[in-house]
Amino acid sequence: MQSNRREFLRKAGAATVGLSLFPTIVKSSVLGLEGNVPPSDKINMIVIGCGSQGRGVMNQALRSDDVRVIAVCDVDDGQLERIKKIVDDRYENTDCRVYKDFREILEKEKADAAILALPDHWHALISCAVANKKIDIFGEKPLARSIAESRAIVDAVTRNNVIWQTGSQQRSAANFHQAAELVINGRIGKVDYVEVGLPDGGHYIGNPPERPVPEGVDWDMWLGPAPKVPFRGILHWDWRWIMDYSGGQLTDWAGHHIDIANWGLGLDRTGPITVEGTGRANNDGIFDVPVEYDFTCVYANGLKMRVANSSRLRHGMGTLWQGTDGWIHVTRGRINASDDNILKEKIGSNEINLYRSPHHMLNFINCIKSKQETIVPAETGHRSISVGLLGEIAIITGQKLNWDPQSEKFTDNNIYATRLLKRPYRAPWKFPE
Amino acid sequence: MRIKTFAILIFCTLALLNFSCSRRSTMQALIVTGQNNHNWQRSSISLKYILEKSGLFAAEIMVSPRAGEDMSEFIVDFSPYDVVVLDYTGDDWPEETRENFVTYVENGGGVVVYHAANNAFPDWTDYNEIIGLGGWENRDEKSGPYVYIKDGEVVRDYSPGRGGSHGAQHEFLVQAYQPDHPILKGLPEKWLHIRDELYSELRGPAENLEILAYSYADEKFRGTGRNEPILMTVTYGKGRIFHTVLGHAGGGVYFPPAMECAGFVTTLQRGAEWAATGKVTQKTPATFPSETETLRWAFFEDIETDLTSVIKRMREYEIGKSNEPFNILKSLISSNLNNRDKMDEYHDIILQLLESRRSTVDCKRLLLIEYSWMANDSYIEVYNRLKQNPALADEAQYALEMIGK
Repeated sequence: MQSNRREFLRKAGAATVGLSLFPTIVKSSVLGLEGNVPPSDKINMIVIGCGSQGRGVMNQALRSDDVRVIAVCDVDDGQLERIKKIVDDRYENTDCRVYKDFREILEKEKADAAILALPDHWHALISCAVANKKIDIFGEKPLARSIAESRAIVDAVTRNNVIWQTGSQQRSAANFHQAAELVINGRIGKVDYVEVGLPDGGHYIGNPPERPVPEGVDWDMWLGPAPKVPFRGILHWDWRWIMDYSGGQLTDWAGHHIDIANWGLGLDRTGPITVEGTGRANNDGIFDVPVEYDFTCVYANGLKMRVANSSRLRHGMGTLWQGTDGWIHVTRGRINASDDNILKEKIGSNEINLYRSPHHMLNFINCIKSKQETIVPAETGHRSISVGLLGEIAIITGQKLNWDPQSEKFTDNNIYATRLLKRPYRAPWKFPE
Repeated sequence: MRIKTFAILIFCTLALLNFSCSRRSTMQALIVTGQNNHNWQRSSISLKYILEKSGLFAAEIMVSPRAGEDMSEFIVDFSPYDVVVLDYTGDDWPEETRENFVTYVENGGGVVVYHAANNAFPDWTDYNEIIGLGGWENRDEKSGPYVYIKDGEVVRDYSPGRGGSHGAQHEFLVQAYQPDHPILKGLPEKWLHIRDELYSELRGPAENLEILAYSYADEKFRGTGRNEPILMTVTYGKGRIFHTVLGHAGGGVYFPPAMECAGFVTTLQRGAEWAATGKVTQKTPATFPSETETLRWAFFEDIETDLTSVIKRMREYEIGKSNEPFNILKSLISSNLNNRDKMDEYHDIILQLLESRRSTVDCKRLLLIEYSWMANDSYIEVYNRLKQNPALADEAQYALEMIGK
């Protein structure tokens, strides 16, 4: 049974966040109004990582009668309290169970599906542990902090045959779908250049002083496999600007605009053969990710993809495909082309029809039920973040990288770059094998 | 006035202003572009970066209609700006815009004439007086004299002939003619400029024109064999004009190399400030090209390479102090990874800092986490010793794992 998007959104009540991203036309032929789904048929869902992103994604799942959120997990009691209240209010009971250790929630709960919205440095360990429990996963992008971790997630998902949806929700939005489908069907001719603009800089956090860990926060668990450091108030958002946990705007947004570039070019199962570029970090503050970056990937067919912070690019944020017969540029809320007529083109049923998802969470839920692949399966998410992470390695080493997208190894025994495919784990955590 | 027929691109300046340590009030710069026989898309963004990285300016880029399109609604009001940077050569501006421009300069507005902007508008008298010298577009003896330096003297040469030429692109020496002019004061008197077009045989009214620097256009590169003006100033009414012929922007995706030359960046920043205010308050840069070696500033930034000071600042590093010395070393490493001698030098620095009792724990932590990817076997012993230190055991273990030991 497929859920209907309109029905799904109607249940959203006041929740309209992000609606502008979604297509506004729903075919009446979309299947099935749900009746009341009996409890035994419901998808028992857990949430690990209950910050704003975890709550936002979960709020979408709560709209579905097919889903029952049964338990939540976070290292911060405050976050647990907030999210439990949302779940309990929705179901008008007090049943939502809370955990501070992901190992415990996995041991005690019988879950069918999980939402994972964690800092990047935790993605691989928890995703693999959840997949090994045969639990379907909605995992936030970017897939992981390193290419080796990202590959480990894909392998665990494949090995356990679980459904995976990457949180690259732009693929479920009409303008991105339209752009990618026009490009892949040759409406701007042969594409030999694509430009991807990601946000500039980031949030400046200066040098926050050491301070006591707030009550109810398990700081050592928050750090997990990352190097041990004193607490400086970095907890629910600003980890994004520190290399131990994230690669900054570059890796945060790779899962959006690089992902869309790949979609329009049919690159979801491959990667570049060379990567070269530069970047720089701020000189003050504990914020150490690149705030300016500019790198170019070359693919086996000669295609060039340039990725840079948007101030460096004429079109700014978004994805620009340059073809022999014109260009298309797409970003949130906007699509443009060298000629407006390109955007009026229709794609025939005998052409490449890209996967159409009515709504990102709904697509996940439908796929759990149908056992079909989601619109952004793990391998696709992996290939999108790989481009960003290869760019990061090129920036750190200053070298031109020669990459084999099949074996996912550097072809010239580049020991420096090879080391940076993986980040060492702090004991007792072990790289997920 | 309908603005929608042409595009005003106002790029986000906030991110760039973050890097400015200055609290002086920001001046407004307008970069006019949109038609050019060069890659104006790359040059205009580079100009914006350069101006904003001075910490003095916020810059807007104004893009004209495309060549051949209706220009009648390209009405520009220059009056709100402290400096107007010309990166335009193409169709005539409408009368109102031309009048606005001349009035702006007459009333004391600052102008920077960049590279091919001196090709524009051969028949517009005021414009040619403002730029001083121009080239191409059928310029000849009717446009005014050739101006160059011979035996240390400025020559105004009225002989007939074409206006504007350049030979093959090459590296060339820029030499100060007025080293004490505020724009050049404190800079080396000669520097080797990154491969560029050496504009020659420019001609124009050349009234109230001063040559600040010149270059010898070597016949080896099909040059004129003369010392051609490279950096100039002009005054027009109350307006000050800085004219640089440097900074060719061709194809490709990165910033044009000639625009990343430390000499180009510095003189453009100083020239823009002088045009806007009549003064130059900017410090002289820490690094600069020599007479024999060019210097490219990645991201248009001056990075200190005095390693003694870098090492001292690294040794004393504590969280809360500037990361700059580490970023400098990182950038040196990433630009020299294949240079054995340089890398040996950097390995020595890092190993000494790791071993020294005078270096802080925070310094060692950073070196263990962020510099282990480039370690060689000579680090293993040091890493193992640091592993015995409880304050650094985790970080040393991280470093050992990074190199697979």
